[in-house]
Amino acid sequence: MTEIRSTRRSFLRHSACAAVGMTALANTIFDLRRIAAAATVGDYKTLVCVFLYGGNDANNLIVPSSGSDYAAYAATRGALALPQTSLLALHPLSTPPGDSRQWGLHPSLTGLQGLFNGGHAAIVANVGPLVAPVSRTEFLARTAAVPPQLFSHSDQTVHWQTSLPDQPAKTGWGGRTADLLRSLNQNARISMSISVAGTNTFEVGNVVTQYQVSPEGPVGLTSYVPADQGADASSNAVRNLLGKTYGNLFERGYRGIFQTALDSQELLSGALGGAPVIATAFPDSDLAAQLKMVAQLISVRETLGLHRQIFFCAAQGYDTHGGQIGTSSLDGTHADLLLELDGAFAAFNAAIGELGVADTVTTFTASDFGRTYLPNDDGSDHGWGGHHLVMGGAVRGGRFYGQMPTLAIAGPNDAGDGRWIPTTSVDEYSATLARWFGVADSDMSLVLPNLGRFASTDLGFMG
Amino acid sequence: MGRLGGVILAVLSWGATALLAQEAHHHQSPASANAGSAQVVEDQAEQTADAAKKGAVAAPVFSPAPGSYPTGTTVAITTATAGATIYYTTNGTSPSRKTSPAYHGPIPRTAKITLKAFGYKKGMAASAVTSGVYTVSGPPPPPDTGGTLFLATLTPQGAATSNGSGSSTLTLSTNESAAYLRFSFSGLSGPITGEHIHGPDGAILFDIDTTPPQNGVWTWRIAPVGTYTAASIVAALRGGQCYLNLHTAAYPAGEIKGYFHQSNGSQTFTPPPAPPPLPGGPPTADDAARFLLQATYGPQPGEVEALQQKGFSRWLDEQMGLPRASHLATFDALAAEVPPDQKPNTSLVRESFVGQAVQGNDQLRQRVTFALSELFVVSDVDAGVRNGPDGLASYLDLLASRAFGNFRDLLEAVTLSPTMGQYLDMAGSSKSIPERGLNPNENYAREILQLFSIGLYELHPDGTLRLDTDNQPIPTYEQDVVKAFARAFTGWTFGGQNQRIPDRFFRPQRNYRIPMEPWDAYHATDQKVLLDNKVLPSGLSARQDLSQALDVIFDHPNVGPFFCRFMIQRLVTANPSPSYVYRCGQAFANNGAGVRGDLGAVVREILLDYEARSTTTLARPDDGHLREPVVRLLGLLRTFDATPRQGRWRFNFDRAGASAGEIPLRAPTVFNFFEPTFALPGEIAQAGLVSPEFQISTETTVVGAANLAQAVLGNGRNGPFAFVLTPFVPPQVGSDDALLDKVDLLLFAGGMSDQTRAILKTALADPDFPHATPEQKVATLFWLAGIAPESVVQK
Repeated sequence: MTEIRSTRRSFLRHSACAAVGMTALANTIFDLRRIAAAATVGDYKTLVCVFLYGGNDANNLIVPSSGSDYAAYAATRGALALPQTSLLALHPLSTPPGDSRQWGLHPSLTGLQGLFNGGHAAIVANVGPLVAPVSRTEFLARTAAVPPQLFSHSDQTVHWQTSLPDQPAKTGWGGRTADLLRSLNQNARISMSISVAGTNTFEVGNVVTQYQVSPEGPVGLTSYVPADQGADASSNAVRNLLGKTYGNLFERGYRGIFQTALDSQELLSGALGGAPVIATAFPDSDLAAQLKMVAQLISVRETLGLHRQIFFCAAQGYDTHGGQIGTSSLDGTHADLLLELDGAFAAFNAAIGELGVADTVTTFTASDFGRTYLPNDDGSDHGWGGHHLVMGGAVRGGRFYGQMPTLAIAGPNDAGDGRWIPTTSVDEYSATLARWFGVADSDMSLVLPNLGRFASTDLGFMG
Repeated sequence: MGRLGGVILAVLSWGATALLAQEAHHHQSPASANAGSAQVVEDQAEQTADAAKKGAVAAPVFSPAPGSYPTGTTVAITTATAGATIYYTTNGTSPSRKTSPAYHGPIPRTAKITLKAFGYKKGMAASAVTSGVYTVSGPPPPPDTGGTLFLATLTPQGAATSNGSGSSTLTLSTNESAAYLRFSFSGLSGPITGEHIHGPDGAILFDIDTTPPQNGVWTWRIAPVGTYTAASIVAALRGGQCYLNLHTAAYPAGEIKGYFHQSNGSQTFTPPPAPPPLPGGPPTADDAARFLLQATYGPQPGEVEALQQKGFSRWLDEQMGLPRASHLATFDALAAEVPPDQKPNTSLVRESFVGQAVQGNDQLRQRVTFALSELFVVSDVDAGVRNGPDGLASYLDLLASRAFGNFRDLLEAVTLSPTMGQYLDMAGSSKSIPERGLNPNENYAREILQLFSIGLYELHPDGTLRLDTDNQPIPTYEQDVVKAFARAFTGWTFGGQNQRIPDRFFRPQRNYRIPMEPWDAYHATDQKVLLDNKVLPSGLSARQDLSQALDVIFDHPNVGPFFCRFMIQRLVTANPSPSYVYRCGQAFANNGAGVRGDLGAVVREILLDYEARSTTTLARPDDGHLREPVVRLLGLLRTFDATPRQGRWRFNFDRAGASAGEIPLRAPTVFNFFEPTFALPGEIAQAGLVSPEFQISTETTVVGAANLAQAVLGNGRNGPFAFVLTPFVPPQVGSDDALLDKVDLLLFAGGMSDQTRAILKTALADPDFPHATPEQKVATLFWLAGIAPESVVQK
């Protein structure tokens, strides 16, 4: 147990301010029931969401690799098509029933190829926001409800993160999960939900707020000296300005954020200062830096009193309307992005293994949408369903879950131009993760109220 | 869950039978229990078909006949020719077998549709197309259309862990004797056990259960309750202090709750009354400083007094007439200094941006240009933008030179900018060429509508939502319209190409300094149905289609209120009243000389309006907005008349541990650094307010901005910039009080509270306060004052 430098005073101030780890009296019995149902003392789990902003072209993440399937892919995708010989072979332990197609990964994903074939990562096929299952016929005839503002970045991103595409939602499914399970972190000193990639909807709860760090750790105020460490005049003034009450709501909002930052800075700096050194080498990329910070925060979970952690990381730039490929389909923006993704995932997997928590950390991807199967010159447009990756020791890896779409324009999965109508909803995907994380079946409707509209409440990819 | 709804009447018809027969052909599944009966139907259909003479399929018939019907009713299509399949469209385009859906059941309607259908059967000629327009008729009008509309969004109450949500409208009658309530909800944990409208102290003002609704509307006769009089109830309602909540067994104190806020939306629109007159005479020093905090990056010593003498109107005239410096010329000069083995990059453009923002005399243009760059977003996050730094400089010039020009002209210049063409992929967007796998790129078409001009929902002239007869917002467009605009915008690429080399359209020589040019060979010339069913006929050239498509956008009634609200939020306040938006929107619609879209007139109205100038709003808890980090930082530099020591405006907005979350011209996405509708969770969101700048105000960036300011200010003498501090040190300033007066005027517009002043004064008097030199004392004080909540929030 590492000694923490921060003071009891700042801890009390922080707790009162953020209401993290504090339980409303009225909900105590409610929460005790959940603890019993969800977890045992000492049990520890972490969810890591990696959001690929812009809409990942999953059609080039996982590609049909053999015979006529590849030929059809190459013919339709044109310049975007990856060379057949470049595809990284997947050897799944099982394939979707009735689907004998063979698949390869984008050549940038050498690390994930090993993780999948080694059983540490799974592929969930054609996931996307849905109000309810919808067929191509229903979609074209507009006889079934679909999420509003399909193909719009901001809306689909929110739908992914809230899993509530048909109602205005301020909270994300990660935030609601944290609300439900917050009592597992009864003695926690910072929020269950930490973002390493700025503000997001995913981690917004009604009670648990997201705490943000940078890939370098907590952001400290330069030359600030805490009161109990020989404070100076300007540090006193900062404290007094933040300690004063304000009538204007924007002044209050700004004051609150600044205060939380100073409190948490003290706490987290102390904890990370005593963190074990992670020997695993991370590549030099933004996403890798984020995941390295996640690994470090996991390593000090006991110091921080956390039994559950939800992290949000993100990579930008997946909106590849143009420049998706470079001089060939083997280079360009998308190949570079996937290279970053692959390196970060492989290093993170090694790091959590090094920390001895591989079985308790599950990492999953999310993205605005997939992209059109039909190319436009050297890019692709906003699509709908896409394929996603789940990684970790608790994952039943080496398998495909859900159904891979029929890769044909005007085929049964096509909403137009190769926008795949999702065959697995974000709700089903999220529910499988939330159940593993500890949300009881009886509480699942509080996290994912639309889940009952879909075939599966558990896709089976978590052990 | 409104979107799941949609009443589908079980109407059986010849058409439905015909489709059943057709489906039996497709699904050869003898094992199916249904296959037998389908086969019977099929046989019957075949016999009927045999009886019919070969010829044309009978034209489809719609039931009910075209006309106006309530929302949710369905239209059935039938044809007298058995075995025929009906293909139809609902958007007015011609139906075809290849692209249109086959009819297989009544079509639910919730909005206006233009239905077109024809019948087809193998071996027969296709029928003629039947068409008809169906509009939505309203339910009976609300009981009192002349009243005041309040909206409430119901969200989980307190710490309730609920997925419940809902919305409610309340119409207060004009004589304020009654209010008419509607509400809907979903996701509650169980049946409702109580439903009330509460007052500010939690007292129940209206117990909804006690009155049965009529046609979904509850009538609340406003009567005294407890200590409330009817008048105080109305006052509380208008003050946004009354809330509706729904109680359940799990949450006896209430599961979901929402405060009523006045007129965010309504079915009908009434122009607001004129505001009260502003006091006459020259502006006070505080008024002048406040104006300069809104209209510029911030006042310098002496500017407040000059503005007091000049008056606002003359100042605006002078500012709009000041000559403008070229960013491209600055870029070229800086690029000439780049060593031959390196390429000039976009950081040179940012140097030009910062230099003009801090030292430019045309401060109004500088400030408005930055605001425009947050609406018409391009970002050098994008490689296409990064690869043409001269294009980014030209783009900044394009915005700056039109800051007080006409919106239509600005919209066209933005559309044809090669930098925008790269960023949102209109450059090289071709008509559909199937054999080459080419399709029109939809990116620019979508964003020009959603983000640059009209937004997602129809607006009244005051920027509030226009509601349909179900009190729901009305989408401005659907995907078909985006596709049509995408086709209208095809055929453009970088200018100056040799069009005899066809591949140059896709692989152009990239001249970022001139507008894009049209290639009609790559332009989609088919008919396009745009917003509100405005049609561009087939056969128009790329330039004609683009020009007319932009006219359609420019003429949309949303543009004025959409644009004005955005600019008010950037310059003056996050939550302008609808009447403020309305008045600015009127200036957009007509500058007084019959011209629509005069941006100079709009900027003038935004800054001279009652709501910007009156001091009566200053004490309101929702007044003002957070000044964004870039404006705060550059404002501090401006206060001290900063010049770079090394002659170059190199300014790292994103250094380690000092990231303010905002770098000019580098928004993470086309949605800018923050969105106009973002509401900070907590009491700001609960109050129904928005706070756009808080979207980038995290623990990380709030402290990061403070650290950045500290790095820039240093001790006043050794930072990267040279400051002019003589106005702040002896002999010009002889005491701490005199120094605090200056700080109060320049950073707080005279709004520094006594408490804040006392805190700063105590710090100054502390022997420990950095005071090795007078400059260090000033720099430290301005840093402290610059992170104080009362100066960070501009009112």
